[in-house]
Amino acid sequence: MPDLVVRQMLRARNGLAYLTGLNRPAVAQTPRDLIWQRDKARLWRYRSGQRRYGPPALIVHSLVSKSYVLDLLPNTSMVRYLVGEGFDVFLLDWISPDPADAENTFETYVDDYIPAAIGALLGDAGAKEMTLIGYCFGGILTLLVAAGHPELPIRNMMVMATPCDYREMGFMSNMFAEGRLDANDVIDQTGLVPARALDEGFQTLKPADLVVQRVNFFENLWNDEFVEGFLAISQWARDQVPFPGAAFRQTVSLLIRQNALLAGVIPLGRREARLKDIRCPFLNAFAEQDGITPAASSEPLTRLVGSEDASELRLRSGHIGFVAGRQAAKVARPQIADWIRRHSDEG
Amino acid sequence: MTSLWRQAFDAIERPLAAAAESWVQSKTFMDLAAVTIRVQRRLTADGQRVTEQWLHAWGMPARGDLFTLMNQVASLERQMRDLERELQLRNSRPPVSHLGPPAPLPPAEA
Repeated sequence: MPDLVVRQMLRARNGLAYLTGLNRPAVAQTPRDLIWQRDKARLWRYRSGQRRYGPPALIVHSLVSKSYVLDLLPNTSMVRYLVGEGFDVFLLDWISPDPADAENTFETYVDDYIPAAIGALLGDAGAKEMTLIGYCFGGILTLLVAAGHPELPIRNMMVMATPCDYREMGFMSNMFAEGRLDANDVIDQTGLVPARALDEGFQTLKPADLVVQRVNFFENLWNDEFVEGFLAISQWARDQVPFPGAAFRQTVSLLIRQNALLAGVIPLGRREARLKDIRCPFLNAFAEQDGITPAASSEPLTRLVGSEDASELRLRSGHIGFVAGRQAAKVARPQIADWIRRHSDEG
Repeated sequence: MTSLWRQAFDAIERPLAAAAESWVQSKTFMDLAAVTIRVQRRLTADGQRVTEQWLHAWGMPARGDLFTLMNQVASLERQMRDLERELQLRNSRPPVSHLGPPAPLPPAEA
């Protein structure tokens, strides 16, 4: 009985704090320095006094969400964990695009921003090669970079929750694949796909989730740790960013309608990027309960790259839980760190 | 231990959620959603056109004018970016030494 009373009091306190917005968690707390920037691209290096492994690791973030999911809270931060494990971690982040970015294509990222950021990283870290990591749509960009730029010194490569077979991507992909909608149907007058459209699309994938999440929140409202994590994750999940219209047209035409990633050959400018040209050690990490990038969509990547050392890491979590949840802390992060460590040098 | 109210909620929610998820993946739902998006877009555009005409009749700026301005500024910013890239590329190119020294200037007229 006393437990029940205490819980009700905690529930009331946290509920009031939630309603007044007082318990909004502080995200992206890991100290970092801005190394390089071009237009909306930002390269960050995380501070560390214990860098034990090389080469440095560059995480390329997705174009459809904000990067603080990788550094959500101190106890669930993917980036903080990797830094703590002795890796030299860089993050290539994209500030929310505005109309000036509406004409950004895949080539803008693959032939311009990412190679330039890699150059800046190598200069800053004094390294000759690096480990390239892509999360979600950032994984697609890293695949195109690795396949389209064999001259870049990529020693190892890892993609996390990265789509490949767009037939398996469900509702959002099917809306465009079968011609129900064209890219221009969702691009606004500024040339961007509005953040609201993406948010509504993700919400539609699991219509009951919003209610279930509210119920879970109420049930655990007494639990400070749960409330903090819940608020951080739900803040991120609704914090979508617009998508450049030109890149979205390419997504619809190349990735969704032609399913070019599954074919292994992606037209890029006047050339073709072939996944078979990726020959460095490769890890394809994906989540079995991922509702945004289903495992069936990510799976084929492992056999499509040309690496002799290509493996997959199948995790029992969802898209966000992959990098920020309890499952990530227990299983995903240690296994990811272990793979990078095994493909790095100490000292 | 799971509370009774939660067990009751789960018992109702799980089959409903599963049904809702398969409904949104159905062709009927996707066709309906596509039509809704297209009609909504059409109606919004028509509404904006009428409002714009009315505002213009009174010599006032409309939302469309704002977008036109925004796109013009964006286009200027893109041109600036291209120029910046071109400049960086020129600065990073090695000097053209194989062409030999520049030709001497003609003697200045007295």
